[in-house]
Amino acid sequence: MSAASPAAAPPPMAAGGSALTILRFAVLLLLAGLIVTVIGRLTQPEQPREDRSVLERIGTTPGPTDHATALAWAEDGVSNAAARVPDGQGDWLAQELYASSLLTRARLTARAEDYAAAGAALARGNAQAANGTGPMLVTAQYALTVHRPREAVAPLNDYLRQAIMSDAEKAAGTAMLGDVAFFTGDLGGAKRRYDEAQGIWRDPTTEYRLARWHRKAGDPDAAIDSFARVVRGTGRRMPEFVAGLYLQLGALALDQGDWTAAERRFVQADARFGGWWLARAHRAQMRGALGDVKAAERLYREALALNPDPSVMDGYAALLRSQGRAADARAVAARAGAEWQRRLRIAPSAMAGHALEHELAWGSPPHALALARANHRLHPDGDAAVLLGWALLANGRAAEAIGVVEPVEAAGWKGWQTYALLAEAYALAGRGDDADDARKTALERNPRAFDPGQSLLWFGTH
Amino acid sequence: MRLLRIAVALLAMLLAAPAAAHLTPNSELRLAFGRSHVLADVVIPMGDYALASGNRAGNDPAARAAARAWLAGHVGATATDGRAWRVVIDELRFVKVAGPPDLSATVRLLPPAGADPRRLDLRWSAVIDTVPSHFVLVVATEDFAAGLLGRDRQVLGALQGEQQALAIDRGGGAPLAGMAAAARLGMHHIAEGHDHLLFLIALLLPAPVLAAGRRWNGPKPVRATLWSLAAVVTAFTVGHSVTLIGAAVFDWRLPAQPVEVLIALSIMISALHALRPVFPGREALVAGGFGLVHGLAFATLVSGYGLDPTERALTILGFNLGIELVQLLVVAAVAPSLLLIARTPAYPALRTAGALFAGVAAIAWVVERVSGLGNPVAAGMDALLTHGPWLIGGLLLLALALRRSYALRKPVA
Repeated sequence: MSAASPAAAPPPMAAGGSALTILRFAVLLLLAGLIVTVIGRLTQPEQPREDRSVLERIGTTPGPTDHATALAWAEDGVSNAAARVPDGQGDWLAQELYASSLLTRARLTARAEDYAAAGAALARGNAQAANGTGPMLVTAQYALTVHRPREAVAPLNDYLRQAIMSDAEKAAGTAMLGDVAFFTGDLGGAKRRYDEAQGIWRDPTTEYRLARWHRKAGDPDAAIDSFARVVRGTGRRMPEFVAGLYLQLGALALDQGDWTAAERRFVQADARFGGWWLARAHRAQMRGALGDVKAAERLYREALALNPDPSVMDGYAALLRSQGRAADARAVAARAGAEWQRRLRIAPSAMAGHALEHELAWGSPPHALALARANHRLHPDGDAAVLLGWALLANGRAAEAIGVVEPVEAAGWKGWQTYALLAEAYALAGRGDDADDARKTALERNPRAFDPGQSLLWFGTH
Repeated sequence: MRLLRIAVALLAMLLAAPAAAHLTPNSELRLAFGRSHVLADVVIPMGDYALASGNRAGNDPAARAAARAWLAGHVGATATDGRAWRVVIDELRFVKVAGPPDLSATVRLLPPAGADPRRLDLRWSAVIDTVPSHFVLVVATEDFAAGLLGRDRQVLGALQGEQQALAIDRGGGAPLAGMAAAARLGMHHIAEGHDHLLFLIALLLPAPVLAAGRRWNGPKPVRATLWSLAAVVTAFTVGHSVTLIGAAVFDWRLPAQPVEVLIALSIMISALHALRPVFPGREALVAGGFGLVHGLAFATLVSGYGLDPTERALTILGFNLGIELVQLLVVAAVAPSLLLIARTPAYPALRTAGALFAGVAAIAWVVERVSGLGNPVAAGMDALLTHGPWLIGGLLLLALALRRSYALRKPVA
């Protein structure tokens, strides 16, 4: 560029004019920055509609603040209820209360014996009850809990046929029919039932179900919003409930590939309900996944000391395996395997899915497949289908795995796990392009879907 | 009763059926297909290596020798006529990159004389012969003759259990497929490289006007403007080509963060120049100088491609051509608007607005790149610039509208 001729040179600026010019440009610069920021915000993705800050300040009501106290209460409950059913005798109401107390304890310990005993008590109660009476709701809930959803249909229908029931009770029964649909693979039917239940009576437990529904449909943001609504709608929040909620929120963070956020939630869970072996195990796996092996090992040992649950052993074995400590890993896995076999004998349907995970990692592929088929027959939901898919892959049946999982994906089970499985299945079946597509979809949902550390995540991935 | 329902429902939620993703880690074989051999980048989770081999994992000589021997016994390839390929393990070590540690090895697969290096039967039994649930993903990461340059990977297949062989046929290949892919890569990179394009556009803003002392004045003749534009673009091209070639071929390197900060500063300087003549008549020199910096950023994307010097050279050439094509398109799209508006009284306002826009972006990016933390201004700028084509189209409409509204000023002789 050439400068203008001297004749056209502009007049010199006054001294004060320089400062004003600089000030003017600074103001214009700030204004431009403000405009750009506003435009940027307008073009940002839509923000969630729910106020999620409630999730950071969940208050609690009086109740056991730690696992040991809660377990002591539960033990008392079982003792008191057992006193009313000496030698298995007692009316159906007493049996129902006994079963409920056992399920409460099982929630804290995951012991197979409690599930089996609860089932036996409910069977006795139902045998005694006249038509139209009996432990209908608890029977249905038990069936759902031990992964036999179809067995919940009859008691729920009986329950809903009662002549006198409140809206809240009707909503509860309807929501549980939604659970039956959910666990038998009918995502659309489940949503309809949940919405129907909310229309009858808005209940935070149904909102909790919707959170799970959204998660399995591949929408973690909607799930988090549902949890925020649960918090706002729940009048009484026991520490155990709050801790459980934080575990679910951590699981959602895992779904989104945010391991740091997941760990934060698991730490919150552990803090709100101290001494809970499950929360401690969640924390242990995150330390391992984030590279702090020493801390992970310490936390796993703490969790095992609190409760030598075989799922914790499996997580610990995975950590040892990843570090090349094959002999130690095998030893821990062997103890876990023995315990899973024992539990399978006592409560097969409740334990099948968990035992299957162990078999896939350590055991025999044919045995894993047998467990997976049985598990899927009982509750053909997306999760069971995906597990069956993994078992089929482990047995060299990629085409069959695709045949099992593609329909559930089409039915709406669009979590990243579905696509991660499909990616592997397509690759084994020689369908490279499909494998690429499935892989990309899995990564869109969870950027850490194929992170090597996934093998260390045994908790919160379901 | 309500509490009972809540408690019992909670039980059901917490005991939902498990459905963990693959609970055992995978191996990966990443294959790069060259003109004379296949290079395999092998990743085996260290834990599963130890489990399958019974060996101790470590980087001491004994452990690595044991690992080499084990791996050599579990990998092979044959040509379509059954003759064996030679397998050479170039490197092997245990590393921790992301997640648990891995056995990482580089293996060269060399075809027998006369055999097609693009067709082989791969044989692999490492870990999968012992651990039934272990899975090996085989992907192509580079195949110059097929236009695959490593930006995307192509799944070739998988191995598990008794499935220990995979037939690979990469087809004939096209001589310039890689160069075309590199060109596409270059086009894609510069199109998404908002900072590079903004630097160029900021330098172009004062091209249609004359400097008069410490201010920009009236419009420059069209021919002179076009020469200025050509000089700036050419100088920028020469500058970034020099460092792109240097980094890709001679491994010239600067740490990424200072390069990115310098790029942001180059935009700031261009923005200042668009406001007031800082270096009138020397725009091409500045473009060339800062082009050297921009080229270092380009090089991070394209270095390492190509298994032999010819492929590397063609990759760099193709990449550079892609960049130039998009640059020329952007200049061709923006220049007419600038020329038109420069002949109206509105140009100073446009020039100032453009300069401020670039200045704000530069400041935001400097802050972001120095601190490593995002900020809303930088995010807003990136979001806005993704709509670049619309902005250019809008500029042209504005130019045409202004031309109709104002009488053209006569260019200064």
